[in-house]
Order: sequence, then structure tokens, then C-alpha cells
Amino acid sequence: MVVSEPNIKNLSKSFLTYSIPTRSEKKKEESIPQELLKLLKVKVGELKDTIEMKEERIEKMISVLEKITWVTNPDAEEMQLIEGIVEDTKTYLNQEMKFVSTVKPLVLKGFAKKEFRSFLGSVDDLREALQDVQSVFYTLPNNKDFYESLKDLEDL
Amino acid sequence: MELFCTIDFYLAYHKLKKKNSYKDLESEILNHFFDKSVLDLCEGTLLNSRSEVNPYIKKRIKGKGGYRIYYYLYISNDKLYLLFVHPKSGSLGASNIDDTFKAENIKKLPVAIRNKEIYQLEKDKSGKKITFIKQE
Repeated sequence: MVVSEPNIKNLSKSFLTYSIPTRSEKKKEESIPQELLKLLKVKVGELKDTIEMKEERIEKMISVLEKITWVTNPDAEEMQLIEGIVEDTKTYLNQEMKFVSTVKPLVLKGFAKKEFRSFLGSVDDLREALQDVQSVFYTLPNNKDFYESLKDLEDL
Repeated sequence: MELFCTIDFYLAYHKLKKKNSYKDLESEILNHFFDKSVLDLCEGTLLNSRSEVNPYIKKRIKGKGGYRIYYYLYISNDKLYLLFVHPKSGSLGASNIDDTFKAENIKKLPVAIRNKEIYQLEKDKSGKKITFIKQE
């Protein structure tokens, strides 16, 4: 034979050094994914908490937006304050849309799916409340038919 | 306070009631509109903030994914008119209605009252169901 025959005893011994890691190697290899999973769980929990906190904030904003519609016949100063609230809501919605884009890839991987879906509903409700405020103070007051119908009802 | 509704509301309500996912609409209406004070009913979005006495209101029921109900509170006559309802989610869900439709709903009401194209809503004996009675 041209090639010398391998010594199975030596090979077996060296194989064991690979197939059976030392205690410290084994500990390290096992702990890394476990720590990673632990960290992931903590961070996903934090993400869920953040989403819930945002939803609570949005609910409060919607409540304020509904309440301002009860300001009847607002004067110039009141209109300026309403305008400020409208602009702040628009800015806030833009920020939340950025948050949605950032979180979406994680949701597609299956993280915080339920919370994210609920959050999208809240964002939609805030957008709806903003539209309503704009209707009440900017567009419906210019709708002649609308106020004529209301006058008609008062006279019934 | 007596409760009435327009044909638009009546049709929208019965269309939704046929769907299993909207089966809670009846109990929501019972909870939110029957045996309530004017103060309780004056909640939500006031759509006619530049108007006189009687409010035209949009009420958000069950928050996100719930229902939106439009009504006119005829305080001086102690009557409430339900004008329209839509869910926010599900197969018949809509995000919002536009201004034209908001105006259209109220425009139809004086005509409907004059022509008696109105239903009165009452609780049945069990108190858990709504009966619609066409006005003569």
C-alpha cells in the first residue's frame, strides 16, 4: 500500500476530543442561545408593553378630540387652539407610522402579532377622530345643505 | 326619551344582524341608548358644533373594531333618532364615512319625520331584544 494505514486508536482518541466538548465549552455553547432567548423574551415583552402604552395614549387623545367637538361656535382664539391640536395630531400620526414601519418586520417574523394588530386599530381610530374634528370645524360648517337641514329640524 | 330610527338605520342594522360577527349590535344598542339621560347621550363627537340646541352625534361604541352610530338628539321633544350605523371591522367594516354622507344622513331626517318613514324602537318583554314599530 502506498498510503500508510491510519491508526484507528489515534483517530478514535482525537475524535473524542471533538465530539465530547469540555465542561466549560459545553456550558458556554448551551448558555449563549439560552441567554439570547431570554433576552429576546424580555425585549419582546418590552415591545408589547410599549405598544400597549401607545394604545392607552391614543385612547386619551381620541377622548380629547371628541371633547373638543363640543366647543360650540368657537371664536378666533379657540379656533387657533383647535388648529394646534389638529397639527399636533397629524405630527403624532406621522411618528406612529414610522414606528409601524420599524416594527412591521418583527411582526412578520411572528413577534407581538396580536398587540400590533390592535395597535393598528388604535392608529386608525385616531386618524378617524382627526378626520371628524376637521369635518366639524372646517368642512361641515361650509356645507350649506347640512346646516339648512339642521335648521329645518329645529323648526319641525 | 323615545327612540326612533330612519329607514337607513333600519336597513343597515338588519343587514349587520344577519352576520354572526355583528350579533352583539343589538345588546350594544340596548346598553347605550335605552333608559339613558340626556347627559349620558350627549357623549361622542358633536357633528354640528356651530348649530343651535339639538346635537347631531357620532358615537364610538366598543372602541376600535366596534361600531359607529350616528344620531340626532331632539332634546326639546324628548326623542332620539338613530340615523346610521357601521362597524369598523369585519366584512362590512368601514374606516369612516365622508362629510357628504354625514350631511346626507341629517338631510333625510326632516323629510322622513314629515312622511312618517320612521320606526320606533322598543324593548320586548324580555328586555333583551329590540322591536321596531313602523310609524303610521
